[in-house]
Amino acid sequence: MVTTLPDTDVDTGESTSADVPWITLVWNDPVNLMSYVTYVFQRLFGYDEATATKLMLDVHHKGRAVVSHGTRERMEHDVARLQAHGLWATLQRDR
Amino acid sequence: MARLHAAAGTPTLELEDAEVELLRGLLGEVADELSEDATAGPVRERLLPDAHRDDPELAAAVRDLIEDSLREDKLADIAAVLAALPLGAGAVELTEPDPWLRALNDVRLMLGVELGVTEDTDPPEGVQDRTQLRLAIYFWLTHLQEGMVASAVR
Repeated sequence: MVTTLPDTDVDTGESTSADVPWITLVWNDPVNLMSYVTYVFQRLFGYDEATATKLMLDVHHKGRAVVSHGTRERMEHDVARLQAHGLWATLQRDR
Repeated sequence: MARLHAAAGTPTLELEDAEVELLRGLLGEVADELSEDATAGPVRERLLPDAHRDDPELAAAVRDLIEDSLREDKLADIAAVLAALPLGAGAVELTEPDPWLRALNDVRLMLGVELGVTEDTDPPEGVQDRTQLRLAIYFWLTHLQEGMVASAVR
């Protein structure tokens, strides 16, 4: 594979807060059904069944899973939608 | 006992008189927990949780943005189910399963917090007191919700 490097380095070395992506996490809880969590992931994010099931199993076995990333505004929207479905969702800066 | 008919076409939920009354009461309890005048407690914290685990400032900022509409959405789901429930024993077509799934899930979350449900909690062996009754209701709703999810993904 050939990689063409640009002549000028445009990276200023600075990182503003707007550049840092945010993530939405879903945490395990003892009430939400595995089938329901999978259903919600498919409905809200358009994931296929295999992807949604894998995320659900991550939540179940590892205690949490990252279900989406993007701007803080976008993550606030996702957290609201997940919480509307009763899932235990939080957001945080991805680092 | 409630029966979910999901073999063909729109899933239909058949309820007995007492089950309709029970669901109305439970949905009313969740609505009370969500009311702005209600005292904050563990149930409300679970229904409207902090959006960050250990940054209270960020959690408060996100709460300011989303809590009002979240509460309205949850109350709208409850209102939709209450409006769809038959007056006595009867059947209801689940043409829109999502408000049902969300509202019943919120009832289960409320009971789960109240009863301290864990992944190892078993159904009660008998129903001798209020706690066992509430636990039996929790597992009844679990069964109902499982069936509804299965019919919704078909």
